[in-house]
Amino acid sequence: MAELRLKSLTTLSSFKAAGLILIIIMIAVPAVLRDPYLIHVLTLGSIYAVFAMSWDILMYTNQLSLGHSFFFGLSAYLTAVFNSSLRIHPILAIALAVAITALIGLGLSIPFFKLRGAYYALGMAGLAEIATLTVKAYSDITGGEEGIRGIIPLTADYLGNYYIALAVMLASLIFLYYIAEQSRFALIFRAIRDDEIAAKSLGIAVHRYRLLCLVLGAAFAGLGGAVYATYLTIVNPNVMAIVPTTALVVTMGMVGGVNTIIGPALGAYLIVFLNSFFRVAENIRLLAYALTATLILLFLPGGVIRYVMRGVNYLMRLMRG
Amino acid sequence: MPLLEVRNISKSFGGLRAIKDVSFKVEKGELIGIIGPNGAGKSTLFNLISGVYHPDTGSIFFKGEDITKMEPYELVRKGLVRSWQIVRPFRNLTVEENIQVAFYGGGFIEGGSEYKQRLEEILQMTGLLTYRKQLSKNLPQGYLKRLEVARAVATGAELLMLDEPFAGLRADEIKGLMHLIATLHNRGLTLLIIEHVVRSLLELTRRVLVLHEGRLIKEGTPEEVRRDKMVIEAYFGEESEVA
Amino acid sequence: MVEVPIQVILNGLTIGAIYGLMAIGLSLIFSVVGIANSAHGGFYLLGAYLGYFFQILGLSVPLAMILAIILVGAIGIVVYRLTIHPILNLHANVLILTFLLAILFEQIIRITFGPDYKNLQPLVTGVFEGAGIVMSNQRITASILSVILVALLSLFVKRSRLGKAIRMTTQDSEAAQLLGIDVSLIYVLTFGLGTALTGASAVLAAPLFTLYPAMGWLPFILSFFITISGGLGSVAGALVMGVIFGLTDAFVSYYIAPTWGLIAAFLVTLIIIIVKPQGLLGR
Repeated sequence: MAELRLKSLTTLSSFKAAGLILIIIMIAVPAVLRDPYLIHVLTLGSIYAVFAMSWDILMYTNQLSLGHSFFFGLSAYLTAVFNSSLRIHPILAIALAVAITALIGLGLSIPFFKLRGAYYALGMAGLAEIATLTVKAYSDITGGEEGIRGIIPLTADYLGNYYIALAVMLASLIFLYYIAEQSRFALIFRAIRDDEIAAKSLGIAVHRYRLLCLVLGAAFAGLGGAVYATYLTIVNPNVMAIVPTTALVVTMGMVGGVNTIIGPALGAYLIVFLNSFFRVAENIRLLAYALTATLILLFLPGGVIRYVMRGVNYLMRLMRG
Repeated sequence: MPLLEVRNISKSFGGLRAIKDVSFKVEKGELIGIIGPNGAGKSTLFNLISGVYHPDTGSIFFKGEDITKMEPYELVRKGLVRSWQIVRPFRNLTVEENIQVAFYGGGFIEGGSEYKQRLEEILQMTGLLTYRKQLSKNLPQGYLKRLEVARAVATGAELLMLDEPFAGLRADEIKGLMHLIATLHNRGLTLLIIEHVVRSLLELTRRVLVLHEGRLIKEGTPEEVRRDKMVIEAYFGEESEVA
Repeated sequence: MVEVPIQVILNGLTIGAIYGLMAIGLSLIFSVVGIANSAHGGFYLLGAYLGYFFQILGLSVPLAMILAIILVGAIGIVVYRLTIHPILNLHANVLILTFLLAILFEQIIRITFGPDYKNLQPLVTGVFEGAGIVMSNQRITASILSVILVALLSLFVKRSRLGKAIRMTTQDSEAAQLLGIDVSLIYVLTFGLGTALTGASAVLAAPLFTLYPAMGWLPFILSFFITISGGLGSVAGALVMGVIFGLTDAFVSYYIAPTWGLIAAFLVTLIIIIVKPQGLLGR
């Protein structure tokens, strides 16, 4: 065991160094580039990164969801209603929305843990679809197709928002990465992904780990959705709909590389960047992402994170000489 | 108090009665074999005891506690562990990590010299020391069977249930595994073994249960079982690999 | 006063038969090839828009329909061969891949035809009025044709040689292989047949609604729920659940509000799935 740890230590420290450098760059960006649009893009990137990581944590215990926009949208709407209609302070509204979303995730485990594989994935898609229909139908509270406007932002300052989103993203990243890759759960998650039945027959209470991932997935998707709502000060049924919102998160995850936490976060920034890059060609944006994600799935399974890691390793070796 | 007591259990699947009113006891330190022709209900019996299925009627006690309705992972914590006929290694984990998962499953937390010592001991005993860093998907079949046993032992099992451990193995691999099972038995572990390759099993054990069409038709020493008319008719008659 | 529920029941029955046909393509592919085709709604979308495309080219309605159905099946075969077949055993990847394909189809349609609503000409025009019932002729025709198509499929799977090969492959693909059945061929043909049926449901049903690029998602989710609650691979189950779904939709739409009809119907199927996970007529 000692050898194994030692071997991973060298690469781990280089990644920590690379991560630290990246964080410093992210913190310093606004000082160097005073482009409000770029700052806006990065802010959105941070919010989507939280959402993408929350989708990925579900994958750690074989829970592919094709309706993850449900949690994101639910929390966004809850935040909007608490804040815009009930005049609750934004921070409290976010906290309440996240807590309720996590609880609903917990409750959903009862029907959904009877389902596996495609049944689970498409059951979640059905849930998102039904919820979107409901949101559109129940217009007294949700504003129907129009949605809810006038949500009070945490701050009106775009730099303030940038740092808030960055802080939320970093906290989520560190927490989820620790749980998924560094804690003692990491090995158990890998075992469950390989063979759930074998894990059960060795004393692993598989459903508890699945529950942990589902609640974390719901809570962090909720966190992303809540921050999204207060940042853009408006929500509409799109935040809950399979297209575009689940489509985006799946694309981000596939492009970045699933089961890595960092990969989907990276994928989120990439897609949001591409989004701004393709602003002139709005028509083909989603087509371009879906095509990219499809090609990556077919030809580079594992996503870009794999190549980024290799690049970082190479650079670190160069720097050490 | 027996370590395991099975009391009048029955189980049907869609009208087909797979296990009919089976009862037996296992004392601490015993090594018991369960034999029977294909479709006799051996695997179902194992699944019932290990909590994969629950019996329709009857009850199962382990160390005096009613475990009839318990789930597999709960039973592991109590000390009742099973292996699978078709091995189920965590393919993308190394041998050592496979065993580590079993430690977690049995409630042992990583760290401390005792933990490390146990790991070394299990690797040594099962002959997996040289393979410890290999991904389990790269192991040969004989070693995968050893890994199954190693993992079960690592959970802290008191009663180890092996499902056809010798199936699909070459003669030399069978010999190695028999030696391992004997070692475990000598160390005080209680074992319950289902087997289809009867010859190896009869060499190992002193008490054999014979299952036929879901019923327990005979219980005795290997010699008694070999001589029993009913057993010969039910089993030896149709199977050629017995002697 | 009695007429109103009869109208509602007929509304439910007709749309239910159409829902049943919608689900059959997904159900067939799921049970034979063993994959949940998330691009199901994408093929539905393609069927509707191809029908529309041939119609604006000036082809007659029946010819446009038939061409659209054949083309959707052909696209299904090509897409299956190029993308799904190579990763067939990676179930999660197939799910994601087909999900992405649905998005691709949607975007291609949006770019080609624009985001606004379009109308597909019905096979038959006019409205039937009589016995206190008002119903478009297309709706009646579409539901009857749906039942006929489902019956034909059932007959085909039971009687024809290819159908028997499909059944054997479904039951045990390894054994079928040993008996000389080309399982890969069965898979690709089934995929083509399934997508063609989806295209057929689209050209029949779409004239009752409107065409727009995101129109495929609802039929997809609906088909999945109907397939599972009816019992995977059960043709009759899909039809029965389609009708239950349609009736719930019709009644709730009538007595409460149209916006709640679908939601209520989904909830009913969801309850059936939770109570009986193997489906209403599943084994």
